[in-house]
Amino acid sequence: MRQRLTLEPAPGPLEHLPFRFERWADGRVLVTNMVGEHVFLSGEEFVALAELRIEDPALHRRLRAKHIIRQRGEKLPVELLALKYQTQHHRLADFTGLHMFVVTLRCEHSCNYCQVSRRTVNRTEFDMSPDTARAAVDAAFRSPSPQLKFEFQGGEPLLNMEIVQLVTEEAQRRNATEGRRLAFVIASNLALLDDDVLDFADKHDVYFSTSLDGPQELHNRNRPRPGRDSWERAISGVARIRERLGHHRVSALMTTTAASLGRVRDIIDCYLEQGFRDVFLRPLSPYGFALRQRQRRGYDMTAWIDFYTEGMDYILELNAQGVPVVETYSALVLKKMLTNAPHGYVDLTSPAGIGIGALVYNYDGAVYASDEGRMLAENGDTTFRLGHLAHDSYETLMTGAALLDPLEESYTGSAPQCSDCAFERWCGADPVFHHATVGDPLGRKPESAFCRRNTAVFRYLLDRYAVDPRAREIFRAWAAR
Amino acid sequence: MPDPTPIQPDAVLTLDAVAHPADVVQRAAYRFSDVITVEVCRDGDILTCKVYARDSNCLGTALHDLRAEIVDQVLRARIRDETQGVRNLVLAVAFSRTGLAGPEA
Repeated sequence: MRQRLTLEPAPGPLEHLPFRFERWADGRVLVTNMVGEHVFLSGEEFVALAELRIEDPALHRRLRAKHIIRQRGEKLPVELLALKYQTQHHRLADFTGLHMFVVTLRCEHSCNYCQVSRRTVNRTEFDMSPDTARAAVDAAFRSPSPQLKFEFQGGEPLLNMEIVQLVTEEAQRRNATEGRRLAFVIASNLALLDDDVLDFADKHDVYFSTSLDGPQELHNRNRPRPGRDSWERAISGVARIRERLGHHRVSALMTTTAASLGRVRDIIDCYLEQGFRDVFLRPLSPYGFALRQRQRRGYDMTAWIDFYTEGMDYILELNAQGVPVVETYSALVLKKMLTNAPHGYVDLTSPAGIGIGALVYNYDGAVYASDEGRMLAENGDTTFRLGHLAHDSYETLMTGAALLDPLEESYTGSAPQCSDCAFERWCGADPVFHHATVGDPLGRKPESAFCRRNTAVFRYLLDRYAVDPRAREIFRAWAAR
Repeated sequence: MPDPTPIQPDAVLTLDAVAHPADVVQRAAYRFSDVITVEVCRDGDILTCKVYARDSNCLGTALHDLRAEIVDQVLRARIRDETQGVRNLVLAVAFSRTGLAGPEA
């Protein structure tokens, strides 16, 4: 039976600072402060906090150290909270560091879960033109961010290397006077990787990101292509990049399909066998082709949570055995939980990362607030289309209702349930996901798969962090990366 | 066309409206909107909550959860009100240093 709480705190030298709380089934209460620093309290300790009748000196110290209470009128906690809050929001001043170029919709794969609307390799009308590419580079350099990452996507971007080269060289030419920190990434299945591409990547310091869904038969089942050799080509491409450019120049992402469920250990083992130490256990996204295929190949979020939990248990076992492997999403969350450092992941921020974190320049000159927004447009929903490079100024793109309305409506600091949620500082707003799944940018959180997924991840990580000293050490190392 | 027969609630909670403001009760009800829907009506000092279960097998647990959550929401509202000044102060100090909240903003 929950203890009755009095309505007024005891008059005295202490006062509350803003905090939020969530209860655990075992009676503990998670309390987070205004910047997401957390502490677990017993039920009795929580009542003492609520009523400000804190007699235990150790509890008093813990709560003051976490900026949950202060001596009445004390100024230092305000200064410290403000400094941390400012650090967490610094990205807002230096917005839009990621610029994605959809250089073609063509692809020689025909993946069932594909998030984009691919076109066959002979359909060159779905390639980005040089004029569009130059206009997109101009737009990217209008961003105030001191770091600009140019990511080439498709379709398969290696099918339009001419534009990849043009954008890279044009950006580097512009940067001779701009002085930004530039990065270039080609998101490719690597099936078409050749020496010319490697020469270019070597010369211009280009990185690669590829897809690897796990063991050979699972990957090839998920990612069909002529010759049914997607896995073999990806693995061969990874080896060539490492040999020519260095081990660190290629990373891999997996997508969890219904066929992946129950095979998380095989997937992690495959990543380790291929020399990858980072595994991102990503759920299927409800966009693009994936939206149409979801009914046939989809699964409930509960199934993904079981998949994630088993995977994390295994990853922690491996780390305990001296095998350093990281679950990428958990590491991002832990960075938010345990540090104030920027995490650079646009899908887990509030205000949302659309536009602020990333812009997408489509092959046809349309500009989207996110890659997912572009995928929706390929299926006829242009809600997140900000404008067109040929007709709209940068100011128009960045201050139009298509961007500002969903940013405002999805902001977790004022969203129902989110604004009260103890996980809010670690979570994010995902207006595109909620628009795609329920038709509005906010969504109803009790029914939101996004909320369910993140809540499950937060609770898993907190439980392990709280009770398992070895996991705590690993999580701190992940957060500090 | 006659009005359709109104749906009868599966349960009714009666609360003291002074101790349980409607906003607090609605926030609590929102958290369980995947399990129950709640219609809140105020009549003087009485707040009546008509509860409709999406799945009648879950009603008992949902009612207990709702009542517990209302207590928590009362506390959340109190902390929110009590700390509003310091929250605004922290935000003012934080954004005063960013250039994001200049005079023209």
